[in-house]
Amino acid sequence: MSTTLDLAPPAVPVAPRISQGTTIEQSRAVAEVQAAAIMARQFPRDEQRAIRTMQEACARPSLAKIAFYRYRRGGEVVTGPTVKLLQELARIWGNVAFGIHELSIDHTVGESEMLAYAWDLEGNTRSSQTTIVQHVRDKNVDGTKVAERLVDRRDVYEANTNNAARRLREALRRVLPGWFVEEAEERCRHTLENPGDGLTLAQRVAKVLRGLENGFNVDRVRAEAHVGKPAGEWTAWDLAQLTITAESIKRGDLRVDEAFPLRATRAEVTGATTPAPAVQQAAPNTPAPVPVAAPEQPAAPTPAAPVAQQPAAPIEEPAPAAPPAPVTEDVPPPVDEPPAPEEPPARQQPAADTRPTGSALAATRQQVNRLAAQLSSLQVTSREARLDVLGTLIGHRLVSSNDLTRAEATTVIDLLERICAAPEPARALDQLLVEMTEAADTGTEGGA
Amino acid sequence: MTAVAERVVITRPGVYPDLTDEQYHGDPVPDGSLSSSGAKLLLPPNPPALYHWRRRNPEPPRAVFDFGKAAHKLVLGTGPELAVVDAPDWRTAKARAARAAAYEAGHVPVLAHEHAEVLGMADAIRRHPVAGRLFEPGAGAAEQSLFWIDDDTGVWRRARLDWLPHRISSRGRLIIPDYKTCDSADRDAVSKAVERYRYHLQAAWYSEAAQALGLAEQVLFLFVFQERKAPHLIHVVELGALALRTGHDLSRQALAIYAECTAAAHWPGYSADEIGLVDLPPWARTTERMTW
Repeated sequence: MSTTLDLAPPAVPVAPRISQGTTIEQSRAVAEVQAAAIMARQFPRDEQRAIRTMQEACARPSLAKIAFYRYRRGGEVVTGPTVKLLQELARIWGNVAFGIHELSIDHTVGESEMLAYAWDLEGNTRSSQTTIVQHVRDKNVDGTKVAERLVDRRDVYEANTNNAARRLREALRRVLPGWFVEEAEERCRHTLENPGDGLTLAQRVAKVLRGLENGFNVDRVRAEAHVGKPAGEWTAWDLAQLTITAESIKRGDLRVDEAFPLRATRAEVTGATTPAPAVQQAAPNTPAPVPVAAPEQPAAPTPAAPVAQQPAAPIEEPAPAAPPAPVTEDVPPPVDEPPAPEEPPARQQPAADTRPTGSALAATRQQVNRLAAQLSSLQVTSREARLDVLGTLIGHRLVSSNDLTRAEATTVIDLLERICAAPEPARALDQLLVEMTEAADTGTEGGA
Repeated sequence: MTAVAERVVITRPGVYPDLTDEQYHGDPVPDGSLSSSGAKLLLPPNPPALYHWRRRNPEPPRAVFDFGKAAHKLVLGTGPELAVVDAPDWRTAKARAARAAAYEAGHVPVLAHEHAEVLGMADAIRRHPVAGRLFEPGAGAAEQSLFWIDDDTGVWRRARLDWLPHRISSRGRLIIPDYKTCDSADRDAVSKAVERYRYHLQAAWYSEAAQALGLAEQVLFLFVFQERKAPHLIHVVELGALALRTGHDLSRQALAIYAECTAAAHWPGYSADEIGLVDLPPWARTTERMTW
């Protein structure tokens, strides 16, 4: 339906507010350009000197290393000279003005207008490009674009400069003589292949392999797959290519698993396997806000309970009196059991609350022991009190420590650890419990 | 339906080993959860309204899916009972009645010749050196339901893995295989199927599930494509980096749309605010110019 907004007259363009400073800056810029052009005529570049300087610069590994970019687009590898190399070349070539300007920035609409230019002041060749940079982050190389709006000013600034830098790269390429750039690229490649570090090829291969292993956790097999031949047959050229890849990864143009995919092999499928993944964790119960975000498993390959059926039997330590009468929920799905009291009514339908089953979910013996020790030090000694405190902390009632999952235990152990470190641990615990109870109450109301 | 599945409610993230298909697809999370097939429906060019409608009006069973289900049942060893109907096709009233009865009983109806084919397929899988190992009875659990909460959006997500292995590979990866039946399993056909049915989104989604629940730090998701026609050739593939990255991006995109529509309680259809402008697709435009 049309609204008044739709029918409103087209907005009359309003001249942007221009400060006095801007006006001065504008006239200063005009004068500067004129002066630069005059200076360029008076002091023309010495091409021979420029070539020599370029050759020296490109012989430096520090420049050669950052001279190329590489990324994947539509499954193909795109490569070329980086803006850093081209800027350096422009500086050496001389009498080239270049840069990027932020012409306007609009945080409400979420876009900026950027200008990138390169100008050969002597030949009077100028290449400039204005570009509208959306304040979004493309989370994709190609194909489907996932645009995420940038809010942080710093992110916007970086998006602007990154985009403009790419335009600057093109502008510089147009203004600088092709042969000059090509020779520089060639020399940089040569430098990458022969860095003059006094190492033999074999030593350099070993060094690169170590670097990949330590830097990107890429082992020899993956590196060899990337190069396409065994490390023993690598040439200086291969090493140079690897260096470019590594720099591209560092810059974020390429991801490690894209550059060095860990290909699945028949051997991996059919070969030896290690015990079991720590079969899982289940986070605290019910509506409450995501409690302590997806806990990092403490150690990945926990040897504990494989997926086998027998419970890892978390001990009911001291447990003096009455063994817990109520059935734990670990056994088959309860048929007509009413939902636990704290559960929100959820749907109208009769609902049995299914909990993740499987012994591997249970907290380990060590964790249970640890919790008991922590709670004792906080003067929570009786079994009931312990279960009560734990239940409050994880957001659902515990009938026995069997109900505690490994992830929950990890979370609570960390929490108690911090409480124990507080100046007055017992008080800190009381306060936390009060807060948790309140949070749970409001959470339940809100979640319904 | 006889197998009136008990209504379950899931309020805690985790791996739920015993949910039936029906319980899983009925979405047992009180406030709703998003599955990878839901995500596919939510993504452009589909408007969110389609997903919103479809989740309250599930599609009726279709013969192609029944065949796939039957194959899954025999390969994975779990799933609803098969009801073999001794008829050459579904054209006769008798066959159709048998099919209706099977649906009524919660079974999957298959024609006798289809059943024979499915048996052949399961057999081929068992004998395949890689696929046989991937679905080796006892080495994993079939049809596992995973529920977790997305860190970024707070959206509940769910996934139903064909197979969740008990062990991790020598390279420290949890290898999750997914079984697909198809007409052709050649590289080209598989690549197109991945794009068309957005299998890359599924691969990303399921890998994210396993990682979010701490099942493994590294996941290797493998597709086991098997041709429906004899000799039921099998092609085990992994997806390339670009496909996976795109898959992850799609999953983020779908989650964002879901979170936004849920928060606004508004599931828009095609835009009603503006009249769309439509032209011929690029390929047709070229043709047009040439014949003009």
